[in-house]
Amino acid sequence: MSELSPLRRASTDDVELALLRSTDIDEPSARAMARTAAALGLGTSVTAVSLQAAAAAPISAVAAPTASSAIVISALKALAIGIVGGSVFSTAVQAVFSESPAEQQRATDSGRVAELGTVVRPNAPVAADALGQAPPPFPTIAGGQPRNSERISHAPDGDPSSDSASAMRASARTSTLPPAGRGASASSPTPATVAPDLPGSQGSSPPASKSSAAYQTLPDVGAARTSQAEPAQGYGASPAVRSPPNAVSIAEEVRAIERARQALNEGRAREALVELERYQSRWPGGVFSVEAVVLRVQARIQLGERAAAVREANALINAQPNSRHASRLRALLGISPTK
Amino acid sequence: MGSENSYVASPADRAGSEHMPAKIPRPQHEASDPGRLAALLRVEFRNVWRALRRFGVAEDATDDATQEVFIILARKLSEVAVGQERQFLMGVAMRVAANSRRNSAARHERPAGEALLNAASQVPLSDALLDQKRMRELMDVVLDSMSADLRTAFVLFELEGFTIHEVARMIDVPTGTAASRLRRARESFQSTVARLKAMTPLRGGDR
Repeated sequence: MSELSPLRRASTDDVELALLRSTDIDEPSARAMARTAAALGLGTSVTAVSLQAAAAAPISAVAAPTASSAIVISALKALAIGIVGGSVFSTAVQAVFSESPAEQQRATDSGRVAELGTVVRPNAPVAADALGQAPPPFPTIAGGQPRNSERISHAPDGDPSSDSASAMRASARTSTLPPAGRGASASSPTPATVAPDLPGSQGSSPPASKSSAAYQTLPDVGAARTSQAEPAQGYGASPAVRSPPNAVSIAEEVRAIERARQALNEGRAREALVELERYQSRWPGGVFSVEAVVLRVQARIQLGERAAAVREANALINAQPNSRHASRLRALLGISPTK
Repeated sequence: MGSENSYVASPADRAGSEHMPAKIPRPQHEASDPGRLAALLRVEFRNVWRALRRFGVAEDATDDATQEVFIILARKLSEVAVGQERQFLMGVAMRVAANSRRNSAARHERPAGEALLNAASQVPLSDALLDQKRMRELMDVVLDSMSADLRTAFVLFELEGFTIHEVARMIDVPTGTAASRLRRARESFQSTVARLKAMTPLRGGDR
């Protein structure tokens, strides 16, 4: 079904792509979540953890991976799948054949954890079968990614039974998982904040709390998609990856860029450069870093500083040779794509 | 395809199309519990908020709409089967967004064509391309120009990353119908983009 690949992958139109990507900027404020938590009578611990996770997001995204580290992470994930998949399978088998109700309950919980952790391929519903339930309809989907493989790759995430897998998961998530998922599952504060609320959370295998705890292992789909679909470094990082969900900060960034553009449009290239310097020092790796580079190059050209313009442009062109911004810079400088 | 076979596709199970489903299969042993709700809030809040925005809720109303979705979830949590929480949330979000759009339209009705013209005339496309926020505003206009059905299919597939089978389940239609809506939504998207370009042609050197 090639016609059903997402437009983000299929389209070659700059405007279409820019429109689709523009939705990456959609982010709730931290206060909104706190208000909802309060309205639900959940207190602030939930949002505190989420905020920590969100704050950590840009750091790990910026530190994230070159192509080689992505390969290493993929290998680790594959290894984790093997280990944890085996573990889930054996647990489910134990559930089926175990004579003890207690053992059955433990195995069921483990299976459920796996199910919640975005398990189950349609043809491999081990945990679901063990539960006598249908597998979840769409546990975790990463847009722009092959969805089935995404499910498979997350399959072990919910299984808490393997420490080594957990460690690998945590390390993989450092670069591939989104704020909520990372904060929820890979960092220790999460269970501490949620577990006390759970009925029967003491003991080795509390059924009700398992589901809650297990849900924490679900990665955040939207962010996962963003962080995997976009290069998460330097010029290439998407705003959603690099910026914490802080609408105020983004609005300020927009204003700063707008001031620079205005100055440039009015022929005040020097002022534009000053504004852009200020932008860069205030928001290194900011949401509009790439746009800032393009504007800086334009300003240099306007000032007749072609050598500096080429130097700045080359940094971006080399980092993202096929991007729209690279094309634009080439056009501005009158250089051919092959150069 | 395979996932369809493995899914119990009873209408009531498709919470995506039911604001308050009359009959939902009883989950195995889940009761409403604050831990589960807290975990859902933490994991899904952002997804729900983003989906609501894309379904057409105004930015300044999205916080309240998200809260409404989670309050409904809290009421119905014991009836939501484990593993189907996201589907349920998206279904509720669709309904809440539809209500919000209706209210908003009643307050300030404006033809889509006029909105498009307005948006396009305010921002030269060549400049807007450099400004994600402006592109986002234009995206709102483009999405607003779609019918509700097309928009839902488009948002779920293109922006939320669900597969077409999942979209079909969520909106409670056959996969073929969902695919057809998606195709028409894309056509609408592309033709609106073409109109935008025609209104504000890119300057030379912008591409």
